[in-house]
Amino acid sequence: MNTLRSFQPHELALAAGFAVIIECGLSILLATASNQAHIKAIDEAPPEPVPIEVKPILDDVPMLKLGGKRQRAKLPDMWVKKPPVVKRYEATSAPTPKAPEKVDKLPDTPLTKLNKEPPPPDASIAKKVEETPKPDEKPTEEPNVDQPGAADGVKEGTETDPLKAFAVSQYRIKISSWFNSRFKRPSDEIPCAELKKLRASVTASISGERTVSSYSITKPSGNAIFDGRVKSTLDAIVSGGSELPPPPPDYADVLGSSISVAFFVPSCE
Amino acid sequence: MRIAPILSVVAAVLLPEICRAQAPATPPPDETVLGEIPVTGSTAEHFVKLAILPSLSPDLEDVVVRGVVRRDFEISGMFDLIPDGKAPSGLYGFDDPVDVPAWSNLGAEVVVKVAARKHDTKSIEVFGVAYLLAHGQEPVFQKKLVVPAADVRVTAHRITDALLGALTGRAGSFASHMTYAAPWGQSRRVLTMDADGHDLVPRSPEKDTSVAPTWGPAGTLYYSESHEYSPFFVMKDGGTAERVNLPFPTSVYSVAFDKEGTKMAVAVAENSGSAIYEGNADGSEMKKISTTDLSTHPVFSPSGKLAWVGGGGKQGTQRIFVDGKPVSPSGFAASAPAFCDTEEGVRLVFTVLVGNDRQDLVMTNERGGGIARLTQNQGSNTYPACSPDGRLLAFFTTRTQGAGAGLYVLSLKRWTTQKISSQIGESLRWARLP
Repeated sequence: MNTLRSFQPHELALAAGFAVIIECGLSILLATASNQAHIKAIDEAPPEPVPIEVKPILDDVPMLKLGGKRQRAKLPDMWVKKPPVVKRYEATSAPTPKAPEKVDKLPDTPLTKLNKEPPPPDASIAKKVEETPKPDEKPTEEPNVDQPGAADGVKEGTETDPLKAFAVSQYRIKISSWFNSRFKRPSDEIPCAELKKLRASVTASISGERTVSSYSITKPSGNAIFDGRVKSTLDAIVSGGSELPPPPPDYADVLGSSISVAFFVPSCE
Repeated sequence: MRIAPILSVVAAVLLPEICRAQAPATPPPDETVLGEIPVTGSTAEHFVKLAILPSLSPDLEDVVVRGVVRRDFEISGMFDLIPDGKAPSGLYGFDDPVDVPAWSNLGAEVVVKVAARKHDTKSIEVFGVAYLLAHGQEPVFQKKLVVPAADVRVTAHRITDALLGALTGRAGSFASHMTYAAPWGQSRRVLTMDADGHDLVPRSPEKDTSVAPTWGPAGTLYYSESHEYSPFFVMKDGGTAERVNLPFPTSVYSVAFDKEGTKMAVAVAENSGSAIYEGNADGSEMKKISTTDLSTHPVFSPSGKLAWVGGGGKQGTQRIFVDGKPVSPSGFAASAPAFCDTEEGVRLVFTVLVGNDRQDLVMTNERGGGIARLTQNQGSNTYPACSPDGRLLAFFTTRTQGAGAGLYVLSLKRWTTQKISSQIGESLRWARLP
């Protein structure tokens, strides 16, 4: 009460008036408020089919030569006499009026299904017959060629020793890595789509010290920038005098006096 | 008309001789086997995926052989090994066929099967078989060794070496041993151990000071020894140690042999310094070849070049010399040269002194070009030695991180290290077992 007495009546009226105005204002704002902001979803353009060109690149590893033993001439499958198919029936039990009144042992075979036709009198009965026979596994066909080689080889293959083919492919990867570490792709100068189409073939001469002594671009890509990059790479290799990795001691003859090198960029990643 | 038959006879007799005389001695190498090398600018390297078949055999020799071969393949860094836990379920008896489709599904390109079983009461049979899955179920390589049961570990290493040789064309060198000198009480002794850190044995007399060991012809151990402060003499330990007669009255600090075991090089005390002498492996016809005041630590390269540490006096900081020419970078004190006959070619590895009295390993080509640092900020790394196949580099380190100080091997293929021993020493050498 003392607190109220410290205010004048008109001050109290003024405060009450302000309070009523504020409350009314808030009520009006709440009553009229509405969310006008909307975030419109951006419709993504449907993907358009882009034609791409697929260039198969042949693996030039010394491919295993196709080989095996000449097989004797055989008749076509349609003429080969096949063994007769024997239809077998599963042994089952069925009620019969001929059954004796007393039996020593009840049959342990399953009860035959109702309305099932009885097997013919001369049928071959088996204890268990699989309803769904497994599909015949097709045997691996041996190549019918009379020459040294491997069954998993190819006609164009030259190497008959799978271990040598494997070891040489490892060495080939090593030489490829050696050139790769010295070749900087001109990705910043040629658009990716065009870069992927370019390919330059080079023949490099190898010296007795296993360095690249000279080279010739046998088939340029046709793109001046790409061919220039290939040329500058090879110039640096020749002037640098770095040695190529030595071939495996067991196959020291695989590195000759020249090698063929193909510069290309299969992907821009 | 009469001349024609005579000419034809003469031609028939002479032409083959002429052709034979013009024929080259050896046929030129078949370059087509390499095909066209693809160069794409990509530096990603492909590692062949290899699986070592699990074994369910409880025999101790089988467990040892398989464990040793698997660890050897891991250390070599040559292949991506498929973890044992990923092995497809199936039968893994020795005579069971390899499940090619299941292993192919795991990405395996090569499957290796190793096994050991008793041959008789004293010996065991150890098998190593390799399959290239692209080639089918028939093995492409098989090796069988019958050895005394006590040799199971070294035989497992020999199987690994044979398998690596078959798959890469370059035999492995896990069947090898190391030697080094280490402090022993008041003096130093020479010790030897297998390449996997097993079988550590002191070889030199306990009360003498023995330093700078090396492997000589026929796998014989050589080292320099001083008895009661006498000059260092070269000792040869082929079972019982004996002194090698050399024409030097002063100390011989270290000895080295070339790859063929026909040449010897020694570091000899001379005029308050030391010099390098080179001669025959028996110590005859020794000639001085170094020109620096201080020359130590001779070592031959696989191609017959001779490297040593030279310096002091007018030459200033000690550097690595190869055939008389300094090849290590000037301004860095270099030491402990070792040659590596790597898959990329011959490399020279040595240590350089860096800050805080630490040493780090660097590698160059045989002429000192293309320098690359192999260790950094991992303690002091000293005394490199290359495996005989050039795939691994061993060295001592004082590093405190990881597995701590000890003897480590670095794969020169993957640049990963593995600790094989807690020992620390000096003058490390690595050679094939005889």
